[in-house]
Amino acid sequence: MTEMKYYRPETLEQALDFLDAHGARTEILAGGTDVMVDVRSGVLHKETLLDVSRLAALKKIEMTDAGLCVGSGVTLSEINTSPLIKKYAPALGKCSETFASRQIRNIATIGGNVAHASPCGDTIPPLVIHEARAVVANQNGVKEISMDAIAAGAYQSALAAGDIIVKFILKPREAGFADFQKIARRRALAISRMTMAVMADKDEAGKICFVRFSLGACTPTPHRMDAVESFLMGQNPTHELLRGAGTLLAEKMVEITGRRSSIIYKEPAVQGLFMRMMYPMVGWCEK
Amino acid sequence: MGQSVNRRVTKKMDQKKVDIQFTLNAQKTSVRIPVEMTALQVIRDVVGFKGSKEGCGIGECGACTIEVDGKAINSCLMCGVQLDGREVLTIEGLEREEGLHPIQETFLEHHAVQCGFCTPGILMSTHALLKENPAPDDEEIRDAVSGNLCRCTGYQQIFSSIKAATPVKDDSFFHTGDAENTLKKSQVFADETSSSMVLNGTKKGENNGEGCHD
Repeated sequence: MTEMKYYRPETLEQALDFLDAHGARTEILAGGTDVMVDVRSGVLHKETLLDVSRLAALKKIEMTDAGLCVGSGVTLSEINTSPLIKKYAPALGKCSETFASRQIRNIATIGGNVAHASPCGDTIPPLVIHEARAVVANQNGVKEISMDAIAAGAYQSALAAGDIIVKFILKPREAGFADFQKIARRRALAISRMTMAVMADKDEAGKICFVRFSLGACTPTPHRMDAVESFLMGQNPTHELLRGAGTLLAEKMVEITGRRSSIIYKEPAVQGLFMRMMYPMVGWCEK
Repeated sequence: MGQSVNRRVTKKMDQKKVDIQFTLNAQKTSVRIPVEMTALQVIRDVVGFKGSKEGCGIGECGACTIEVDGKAINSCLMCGVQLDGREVLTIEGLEREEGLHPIQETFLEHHAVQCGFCTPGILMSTHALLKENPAPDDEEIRDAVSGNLCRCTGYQQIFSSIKAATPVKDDSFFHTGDAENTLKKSQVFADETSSSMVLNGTKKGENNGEGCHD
């Protein structure tokens, strides 16, 4: 166990000052649910833990002109109980219900989940369908990074050493249909093998007039599945249509990942999970 | 690196050992700990309360569950320094002067304890649930303890025990974590050089986790 130092800034400015000087040798600590596992197993070799868990600037959920803002330091439990999230980002709310366990939801943060850049971060597909932008601060100012650019690869964040994610700005939408589904070895806690998030609306004729869909965990970085969205747009959500979309989704997944050994399982699983998630939409055209 | 930090921050920053103060089972507690230490290690190895268990050490089994500011958390996943200023409740703080906590009683009545390794964690998850929601439905009970593994009971007895404890009608059911209430105050302090704990004059080795009421 290497000896580390600890710094708990009082303000975001202090945190940014510190990172400006020591960013490369510093690990940002929020909930700690990923960081402490790495500390314990000895794979984290940083000089200092910068504890941002008490920075009020990172903990707000609010609706602004720019969109629905979710602070990076907001815990999954706070997301789960937020009326704003429930109304304007229901798939994210659904994701927070099944995220790990109660104990982890109580301290794990959405910013940590994204910054960790695990392909199987549960919050990522819901953020992708809301076309979220991460507001990232550093000593030089503030920039916005889209969700598809925030991960450079599996477990490789695109953030620079001096960067802190301050918040996410989501395009709010009270969608007629929204859901999040995942497959993992057990319902609580297990790392997701496959996640997906969707939101959709229908027009007066019952045809799909708006749809956002994202697949998580199966691909190294987050993806909005444009091909699946265009396949569904303007159509009646029939059983056959969804089956076709599920097949297309599996094809697209293989295009991205190549045919890996897990494909024998994943190909039918991704279709099955897609059908399970989307099936409530079939009722739309019959009502 | 030290200079730029000390310029702005007055205490306990940029040190390899950090002084923290927190309320542990209604007692003010001060310890000096290394930064890498988890909250679980602080509680077990520094303070000497052995009720919270380490099963997996990576947040999967829930045996280390404690309450921090009233919320159930995995103490193996929390950096020990983050306990600073918090109110912490462990299994040792659940028991009252008059005897076992009502949830502990229902666990006994319904045979929810076999090997007992998971029990402290499950009791803490249960206590946190009932504090937040005194009348949980079946699904809410299952969700609240789904982060706790038990390899003995098959969970049904645990579920029945929690069910039997609900709905909670009496506020005194819960520990508030307030240092002034049920437990008598006693000063806990750490010997900075050896980091061994002295509790009311009792060496930590003599304290099996139940002596905190004395």
